[in-house]
Amino acid sequence: MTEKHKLTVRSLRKTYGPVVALTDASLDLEEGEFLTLLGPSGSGKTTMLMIIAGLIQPDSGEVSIDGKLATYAPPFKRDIGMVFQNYALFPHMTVRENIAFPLRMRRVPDARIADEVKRVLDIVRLPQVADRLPRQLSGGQQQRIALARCMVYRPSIILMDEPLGALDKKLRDEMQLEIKNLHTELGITVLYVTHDQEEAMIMSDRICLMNDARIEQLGTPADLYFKPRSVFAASFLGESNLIDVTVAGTEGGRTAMRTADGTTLRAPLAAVPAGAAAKMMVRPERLHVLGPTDRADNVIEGALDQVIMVGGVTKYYVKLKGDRTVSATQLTQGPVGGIERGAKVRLGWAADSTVVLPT
Amino acid sequence: MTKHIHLGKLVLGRRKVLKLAGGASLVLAAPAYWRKLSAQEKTIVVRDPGGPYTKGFGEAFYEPFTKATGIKAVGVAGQHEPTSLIKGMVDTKSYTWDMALLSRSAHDQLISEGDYLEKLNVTSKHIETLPAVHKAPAYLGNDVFAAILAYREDAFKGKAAPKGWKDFWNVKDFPGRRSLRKHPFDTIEEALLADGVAPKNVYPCDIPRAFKSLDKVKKDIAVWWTGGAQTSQLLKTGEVDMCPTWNGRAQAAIDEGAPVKIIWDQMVWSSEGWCIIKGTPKADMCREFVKFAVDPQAQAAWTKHVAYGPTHPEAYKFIPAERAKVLPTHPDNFKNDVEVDNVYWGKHKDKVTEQLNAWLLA
Amino acid sequence: MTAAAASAFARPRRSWGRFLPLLPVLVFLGFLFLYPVGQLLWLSVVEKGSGDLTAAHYARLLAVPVYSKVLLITFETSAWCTLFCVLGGYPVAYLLATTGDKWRNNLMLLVLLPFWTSFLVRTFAWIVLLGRNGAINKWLQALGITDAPLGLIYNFAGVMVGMTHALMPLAIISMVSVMENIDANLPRAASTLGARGGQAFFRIYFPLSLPGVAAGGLLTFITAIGFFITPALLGGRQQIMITQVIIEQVQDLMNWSFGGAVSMLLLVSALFVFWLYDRALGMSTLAGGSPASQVGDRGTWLSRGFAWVGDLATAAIGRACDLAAVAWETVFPQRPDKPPVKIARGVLWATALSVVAFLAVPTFFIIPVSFTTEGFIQWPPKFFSWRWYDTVFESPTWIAAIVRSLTVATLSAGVAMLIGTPAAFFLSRQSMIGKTAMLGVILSPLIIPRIIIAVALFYFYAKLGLIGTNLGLILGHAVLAVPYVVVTVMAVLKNYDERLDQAASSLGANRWRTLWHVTFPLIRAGLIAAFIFAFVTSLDELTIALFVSGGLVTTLPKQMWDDALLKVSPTLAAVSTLLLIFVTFMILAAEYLRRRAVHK
Repeated sequence: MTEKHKLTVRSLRKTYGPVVALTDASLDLEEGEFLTLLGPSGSGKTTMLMIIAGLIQPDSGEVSIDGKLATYAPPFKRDIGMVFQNYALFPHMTVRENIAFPLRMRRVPDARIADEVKRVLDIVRLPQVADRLPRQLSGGQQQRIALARCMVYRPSIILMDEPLGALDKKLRDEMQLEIKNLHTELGITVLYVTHDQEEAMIMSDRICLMNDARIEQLGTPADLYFKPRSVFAASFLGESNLIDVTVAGTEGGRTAMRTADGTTLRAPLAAVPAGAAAKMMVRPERLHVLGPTDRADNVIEGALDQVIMVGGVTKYYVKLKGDRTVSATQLTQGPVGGIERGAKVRLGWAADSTVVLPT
Repeated sequence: MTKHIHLGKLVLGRRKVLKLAGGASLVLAAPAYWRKLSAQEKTIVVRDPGGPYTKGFGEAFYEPFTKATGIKAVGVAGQHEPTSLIKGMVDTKSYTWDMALLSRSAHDQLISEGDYLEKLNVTSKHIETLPAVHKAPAYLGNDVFAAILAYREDAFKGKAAPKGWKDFWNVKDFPGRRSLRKHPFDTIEEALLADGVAPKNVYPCDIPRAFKSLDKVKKDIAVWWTGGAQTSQLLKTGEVDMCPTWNGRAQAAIDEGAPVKIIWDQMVWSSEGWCIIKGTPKADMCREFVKFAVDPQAQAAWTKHVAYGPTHPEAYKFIPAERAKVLPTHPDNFKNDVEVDNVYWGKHKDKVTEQLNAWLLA
Repeated sequence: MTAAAASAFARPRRSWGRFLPLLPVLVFLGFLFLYPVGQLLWLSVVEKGSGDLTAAHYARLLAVPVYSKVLLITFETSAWCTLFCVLGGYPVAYLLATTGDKWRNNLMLLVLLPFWTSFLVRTFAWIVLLGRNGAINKWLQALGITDAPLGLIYNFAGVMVGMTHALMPLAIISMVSVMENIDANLPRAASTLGARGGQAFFRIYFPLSLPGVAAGGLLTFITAIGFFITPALLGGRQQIMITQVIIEQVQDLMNWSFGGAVSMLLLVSALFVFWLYDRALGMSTLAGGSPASQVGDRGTWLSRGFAWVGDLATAAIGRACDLAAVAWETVFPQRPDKPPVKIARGVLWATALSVVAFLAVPTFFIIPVSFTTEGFIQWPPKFFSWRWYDTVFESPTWIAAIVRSLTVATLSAGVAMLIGTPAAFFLSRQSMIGKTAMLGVILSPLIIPRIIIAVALFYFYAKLGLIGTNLGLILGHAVLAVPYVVVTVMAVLKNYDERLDQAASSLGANRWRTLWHVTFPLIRAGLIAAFIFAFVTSLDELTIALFVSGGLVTTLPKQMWDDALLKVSPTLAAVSTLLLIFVTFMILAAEYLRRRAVHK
């Protein structure tokens, strides 16, 4: 290994009979980083997490933690912490006993255990529940205790498996921020699993997008959002407009494409050969409703289908020829009026906001 | 919240509950099977010990009786010594059965505990010639069963075989695995006979002497048996070499080809006989049945099925010689015998059972 | 929702209405057990004839040491049997709860095998297997391991083999139904938190499985107290059980007063044992108790002491296991680049499979015996004959008995479920004064010898006209089955997270829909176990059937008992084989239907 990462995963593969749960998975996690495994259910993200935790053994591949090979090391020798989806608090132990458990396993002296338990309970702002049983806590409180139990022994990496899945929307938003704050303040390294793209965007330094048992794309939230490398990535993260095109060739340092009705669109140079079918993607907020004289790199025309004002932004849904609908999101300028349903509109956007995706 | 509201609804639905209760009580009041049966004018229900008895009784007694009188006799199997159930029937006037084949001891118990059996008050030519020992006001003997000593012939090949209780107790000269009954009945008598008490002097039992005698073989008893079927199994598989049991159980092993021999000398016998349950509305029909059943020919027919001895001596006229040999009341076997004294046991059973249990545990 | 709001939600309504779930069991046991049995036991304090109160029978009980001695033997035997059942059954239950579906179902069929063979057949199977000339001794001698036959039965060991075999499925299934509800993530969480296998098991899994151990142990112990045929047939001189003494008094001696007195002694001492058990292990292991009262004051000083000792012991055992594992790893170091050899799992499988083999052997022995040409159950069987099957199929009595027993068993199990389940819900979730006493009452039908219940029911049924009816039989068997249902369902509810129900009802499900769609599916294992116990109790019950039916309606055990009057013939083996095939087929069919439903 050339450089020392907090966690290195190389070419992991896991199958259950004929079903491939994970294949060809490699990633590095840096000290203090918050990396999220994002993907729909069955995409292999939990399998990867379990392999990293040592709870599942891979068929092949390698896992190293802190530069030490740990592919088949048992969980208790890995110096990792894990927060489970249902928290996995021990129901027969009080909160205090739960948090003390990892320290006892490490044969930490009692006096220090007491201090440490108090310390983490303060961090998660629940010093008053130490003597309660888990079932006497609310969901959010259990969640925080699970986190506290995990942090108390300062593991190298904390793995979180959809920890907010069981919470309601409001609590979820609160906890997202709280976990993010803890991460920043304490500088812990987190590998997080979720299927919620918004959550992934909010919390992560980097996102590892997974689909169909493999890694689809790995990058910063901005990378994934603005430069998706596949149709899946483009459509899984945020809203996107996708239009079928044929690549025409290179034109003034840009890639030119033609839609079915012959409109030419331009995008930054992409490695797609001329003549290939592709999809063009542009985010709704990059689209502008053009006035009759306005110009843009790319322009398409259609009939207005719906206008929906959602507070700060207004969404325009425009029906293109061939019944395809695209949406444009604009900052709300004032009360919407003037444009009627069915009216002809022109939408325009910059070539730089355009992404060409192989199909 | 929600759950309480629904609980409340249930409380309010009291009327429904009442309706349900009404329905349930209708079901409860539905005529019972036995009532249907006993309500039939010309049917009597006879308890017998079940198994091969029921089959044999059907052929020998029930079917011919129905043919002869038009009264249907239905045999049902009850548990071993059904005294409690009969008491229950009389106390509650719920006559599941009308009459029963009972052991002499069960009969004696039901007589001494109260008024649970009808006086028979029947007579016939055959009843008059039935030996007096098998007759009582509420009892007419049907068959004799004997506690005998059975042993495996193969265990004594080329050696002297045991000839009676004394030899069973003689561990030195007759080595082999032994089994005894875990019950005072028969066991006490056998212990006394082994100790030299003459058959006619067995009663009233000298209990301390019996236990002293038992002490001598206590450690040599490999198996303490509790049920008759167990002894036929013990003998058949050769688990033990010597085992006191009822002759019918030993015979079951012999019939299946086990090399088992029965020693008739000093047999301890008792009998089973017909009784009518006190207060049954069918008492007179039952009397008809008793008159019919105390018949040498019918008794003979039954011995085909179970190897117990007919009470009527004339029955032997109708029994093939081969079969007659294995029956306890056959003149060749029926001598030097001890008849169980149920009066004695009625008084002492409780106490001696207690003593035996204490002795076993000591 | 805040914690305060959550507990306010769970707080029981303070009104009589909340006792409604207890009503069925109280009415049912009140009429069919407490009242009739109470009347009979009352005889133990009145003088025969005069009707004056007397203590004579109790004085005799105390004056003659043999009764307390027999009682002690009974308890000792039951305690040992319980210990063996729980110890031997635990690995099997653990394996069943943690292995894949396919293995689980096959193993479960094997575990249940002893249930489907009548106690009579089972016991005779052991007699023939373990006897002096039995299969085991013959093999041992043929292999040159022993020179002379070993005394495997007609002693304490024989009784243990027979009773453990009969009762272990009860213990296993009680434990499995609780273990299945243990979240598989908990031991995983423990291991990510740094616990080795031993600690993860003994500190996390084992304590959580304790309600199952408690329920299984309790049911096993109480059922064992009532055993008398197996100890009588397999035991030696000193194996006398108290039920035997009571039966002698009631049946042979017609001394109901003294029989009642002995029964009272048995009942009182069994309830005392139960009370001690409750104090020590805390029925709270079973009953849950209200969450609020559990913090700070966790039970009595006795239970706290026990818990403390228990914690220390399990921690120490866990540590010892881990030290052994560490030692092993020093000798055979584990490499991070090679998948580890799962030794612990291998040992578990080996242990569990030997226990399962012990459970299955007599049954597999019964099948060849049913094809013998000989008239006895004997080993080796002499092949080949359909004779015993012909006997069964040609006899309308046998067929009728089988059909009736299966019907009665199904219905009485149904009745017991209907009555017992609400009570179990109440007892595990609500707080009430005298919960232990209530449980004691519910358990009593298992403690009181069946002969007493049978006689009592006869008198009561006579008044109602229930004698000789199937309904009477069904209700009578349900009395015996209710305790199994209550205890088993309570045990599964103990680990059940009530918030799931609350979640469901917050999503708009009403109480019954919640029960049906959320609670019942989640505690399915427990409900099935309860049903099986209730079913088997009825299927194997003889005494009450004899009294209530008067012999007019034949049940399977009665027909078997009947057939075994002179000797135990292979007919019984044939019937057992048929029953086994039938029940196995039913289970497989149910499983098939369930899977199909799941796939849809």
